[in-house]
Amino acid sequence: MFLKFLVKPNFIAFCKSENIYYVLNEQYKKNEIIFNETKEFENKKDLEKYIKETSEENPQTYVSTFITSQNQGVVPSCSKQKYKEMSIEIENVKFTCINNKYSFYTTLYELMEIKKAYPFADFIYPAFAIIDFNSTIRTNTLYILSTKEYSYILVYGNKIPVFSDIFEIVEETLQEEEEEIEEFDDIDIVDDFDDTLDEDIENIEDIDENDEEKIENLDMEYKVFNHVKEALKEYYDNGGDFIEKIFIFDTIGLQESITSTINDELFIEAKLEKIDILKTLNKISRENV
Amino acid sequence: MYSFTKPKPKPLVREDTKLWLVFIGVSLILYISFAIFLQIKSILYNKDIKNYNKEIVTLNKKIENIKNEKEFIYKQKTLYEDIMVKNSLMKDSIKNLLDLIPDPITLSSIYFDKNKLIIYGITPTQDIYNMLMLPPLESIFTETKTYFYQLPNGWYKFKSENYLKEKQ
Repeated sequence: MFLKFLVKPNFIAFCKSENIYYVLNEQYKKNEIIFNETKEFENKKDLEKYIKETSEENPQTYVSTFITSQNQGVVPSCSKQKYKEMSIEIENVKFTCINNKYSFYTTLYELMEIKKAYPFADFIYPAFAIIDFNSTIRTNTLYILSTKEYSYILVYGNKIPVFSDIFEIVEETLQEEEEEIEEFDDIDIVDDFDDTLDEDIENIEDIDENDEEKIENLDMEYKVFNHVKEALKEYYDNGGDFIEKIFIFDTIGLQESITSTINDELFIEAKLEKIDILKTLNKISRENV
Repeated sequence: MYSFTKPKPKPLVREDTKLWLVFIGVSLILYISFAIFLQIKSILYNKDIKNYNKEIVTLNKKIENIKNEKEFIYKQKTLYEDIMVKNSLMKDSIKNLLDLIPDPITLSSIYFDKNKLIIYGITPTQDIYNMLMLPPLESIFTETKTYFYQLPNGWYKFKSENYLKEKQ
């Protein structure tokens, strides 16, 4: 309809991270952005209210989000036979075929849960769509999308993704912390307590917030590096080709040093790219409308 | 692409905007149809004006014709009156003429023309004619010619030609 050219749709992308809803609302005129707004909500009601208000203001509002959980993956084909070969129950999954070459899938249960939780969402994308949309080199390349909760790994063989993996970060942190606590239980704190320790405690108070962040980041980089290593091991174990390049799509502020770590330890060229997940989701939605 | 779900159908405009658009649309349609109605009316009136103008021209021509006819009728009437007068005069003249015919003379035919009168008749003698008939004729006409033929019984058949000279 010709009127559609006159109406400028709003694209809202949102995702939940650490119990906070991050929202990006954009409006484009042709290819130029004419309005953008970022919001953070602590509860879903506020998010719903914001989306409802925007939709009332402009009925042409498209809301998108992506599946964060581990119940998703990639299959290097669109045929049901391939799903059977990979022991994926086709009756329990929903898949989206890309260019008739490969497909991303999620479980019907997961999709139903998301639809129930966010009935206002128009587009529900797999997390790997963010990687696939931003990927530039598609031959023997490993991509890792690093978020606060998960590391999403997608490996491209010959032009198409052939392997995917998802690592949860929060769970590992908890496990590690538990392990640390167990270790502390073994130490007799009272015996070791002396003036030196007291000084150390004073020094700890002097550590500024930046240093804390750096420590956290180093921890994250270490985890991301480990995820890459694990994914590579699994990929090679499954008979994958040699990976020539690794791309890290960073959304949490990783240090550039991770690329040299990968280079030194794995002997694979690595590149760090900062990406905005919400912006990417809106870009995909714009192509879909 | 990529999405597991299809977007819900989105209306192009808000409900109240839709209502406004309907109102604006309806008023526009009314406005346009009224404008078209006025335009058509104006075209029809213009056509009527043209027709009336043509009719005026035709009627003017008719009036002209009627005037001409009237003049012609007036002329006819004058002519008729003239003829009537002339006829009446002629009638009187004939009556007078017949009154003039004395008893012994018998007329067999009379021929009238505008300026002449030809009488055929029978008289017992030429003298009776010359005495009783000729004087009144000579008093009326400017020129009078009489021809006599004697009949076997001794009477005379005569032809009298009488002319009136037209006044110049």
